[in-house]
Amino acid sequence: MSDSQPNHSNERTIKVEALSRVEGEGGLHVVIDNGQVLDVRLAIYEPPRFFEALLRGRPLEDVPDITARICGICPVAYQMTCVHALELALGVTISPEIRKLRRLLYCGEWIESHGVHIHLLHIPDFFGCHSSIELARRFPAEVNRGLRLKKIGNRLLEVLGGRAVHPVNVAVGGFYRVPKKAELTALTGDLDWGLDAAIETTRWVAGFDFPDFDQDYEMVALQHDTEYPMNEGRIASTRGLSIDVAEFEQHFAECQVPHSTALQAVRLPERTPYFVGPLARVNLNREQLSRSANQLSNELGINWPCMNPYRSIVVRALELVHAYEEALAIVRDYRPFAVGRIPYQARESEGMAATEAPRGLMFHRYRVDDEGKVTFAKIVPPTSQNQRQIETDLKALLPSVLDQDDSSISMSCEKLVRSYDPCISCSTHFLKLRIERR
Amino acid sequence: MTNSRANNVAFRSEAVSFCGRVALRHVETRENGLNSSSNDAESPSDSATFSKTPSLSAKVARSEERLSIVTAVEAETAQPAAHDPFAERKATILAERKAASLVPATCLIVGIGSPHGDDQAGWQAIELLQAESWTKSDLRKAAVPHDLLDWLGGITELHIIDSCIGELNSLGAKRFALQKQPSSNASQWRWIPTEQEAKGNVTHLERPLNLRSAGSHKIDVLTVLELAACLDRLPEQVVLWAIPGHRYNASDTMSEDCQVAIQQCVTSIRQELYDA
Repeated sequence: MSDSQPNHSNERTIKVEALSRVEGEGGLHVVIDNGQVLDVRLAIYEPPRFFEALLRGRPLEDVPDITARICGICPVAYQMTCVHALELALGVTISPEIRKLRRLLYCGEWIESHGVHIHLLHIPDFFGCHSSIELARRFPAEVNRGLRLKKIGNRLLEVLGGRAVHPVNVAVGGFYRVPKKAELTALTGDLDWGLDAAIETTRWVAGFDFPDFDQDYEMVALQHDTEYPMNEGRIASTRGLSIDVAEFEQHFAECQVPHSTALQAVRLPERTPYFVGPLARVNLNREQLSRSANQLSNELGINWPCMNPYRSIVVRALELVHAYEEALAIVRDYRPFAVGRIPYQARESEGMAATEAPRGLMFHRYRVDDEGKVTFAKIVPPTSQNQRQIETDLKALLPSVLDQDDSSISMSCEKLVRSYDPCISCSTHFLKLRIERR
Repeated sequence: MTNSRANNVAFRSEAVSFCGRVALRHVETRENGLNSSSNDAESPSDSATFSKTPSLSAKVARSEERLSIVTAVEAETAQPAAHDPFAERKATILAERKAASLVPATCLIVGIGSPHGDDQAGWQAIELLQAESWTKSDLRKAAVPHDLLDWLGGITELHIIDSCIGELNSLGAKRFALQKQPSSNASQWRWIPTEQEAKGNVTHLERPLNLRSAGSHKIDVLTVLELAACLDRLPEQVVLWAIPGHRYNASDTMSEDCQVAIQQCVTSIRQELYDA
């Protein structure tokens, strides 16, 4: 699906009409002059969703349900981040039981999201398949395994979230309904199977051929002393940053770019790109992975910290193992409890939170008035934070593939973008590749 | 699960009654169990504590009190108390769970959609079908088409309801049947509009519609069905109900044309699956 415009100089323009196997609509415009990459622009042209504006004036209790609709693939990430931010604003301390259930819910979302990305979106790239259908013809057992892995994640979301489509059970203060023991223990068999299947998947994908593409990233993620971070932690980076979540906006900024409706994010004060996602999480928290995942990470022969985005597929598989193992532990240890939702009083206040969505760090900040109405909302999804880094990566990649035809160049760019698992729809509060050859 | 819960309650009730006549069976409580009005007390432990001490009646009374708490909590779950501010939310959750966990029938109806404008069509159609008393098929909502793959086990007839944009805008809801061509493989599926079939003028369409569900990871409905075919999961009969729409932004409400088309779709499905 590439297109090349005729030129009368040394410039080249390559167009790829649609970046496949990514969420949303986006375009990439590359300008090459005399074999030099002059410009790379990731252009998101989905209409902005104005969710941050939609939330103003709404009761704070509506925020989890509204933000969940930003994304059909990762609604839990939005819900978790907003409830933690609002609870900070209201002075709510959730119980350990609620905290564990929230981690279980996040496990479900990680499992579902990583399962889809690994098996339907990313693995085809490693076998020259243009679609998951081609992959399914070559590896039906593996694809079936992946779909079952994903399905179990969805089932977990149904049980805990109230339904699979945009969960309705998440509330500020906890949950509207606490699951019964039997509802969770019914999942034990599937979770057991899933753990073994996730380990098999990890060993399989770790054996793929990965392009050499180590880059000098600043990787950013939550970091926690005692657990693999999901809902809590300090914000850390591979260059030594360690800050409280409340300091996020002092170190990271969103900025508008003329070629995209999605905001991009940069590190302050240098305004440099940075990298969020599973690779950042594992690089910063590998010792906190579950026992099986940690053991696997040592067996795979990867030099940690890993700075090759193509190996993100291995890291997602490791997180699948972790999510299954943690989910099993929580389910087996689960005891129903009485107070599913901590009460609170509305007060004029402000709160912020960061959690680890499947695609990386997500940040929310809210202000509420004394009637419990939202007066300000800021939502920074992980994909918008990665956009600048994606552009930088493409600038680094392109010189090595310029001698290829336009179609091959487009495919190489798509594969690199896909390793980020971008959710472009989220990033528009998000491929059509056009390379202009001059 | 309902039967299991009822059995647990009955068992504990019988146990307390028996123990009250003969001896006491200690109803084991968890850390945050019956004394805290847990909504799911575990079944009595096998370790019975028998006592004929003067405090037996008190123990029996405590057990009965615990049982009554359990029963009350479970009753509350089944029929939310009027004063519960979250009663409606809980009822919604339970209804959704119940709808999702219907005993799998051989016919599955899936509405694909999102909360935005006319893209709600698939979901709204499912809600209307759920309200109809004849509906015995499994009814589900999907936010992304690939969730379909989770639900195809044992299904012989699949109906998909989805919003679409394109040339059908003025024609209301349309039905398409997925038909395999003789001696073909999955890559040669054809969509045949039934109206033209009736007229004897079949138009074969490779990819007939610009389906709204094509947004998510580019795994659209047709790709999902092809994938299902590759994995031997595709039901024998697949029907697509396409509901035309034109409003898809986040803040959009559903158009009147779309609402009319949804009603047409539900009526047509009723006629096909129930009245026929």
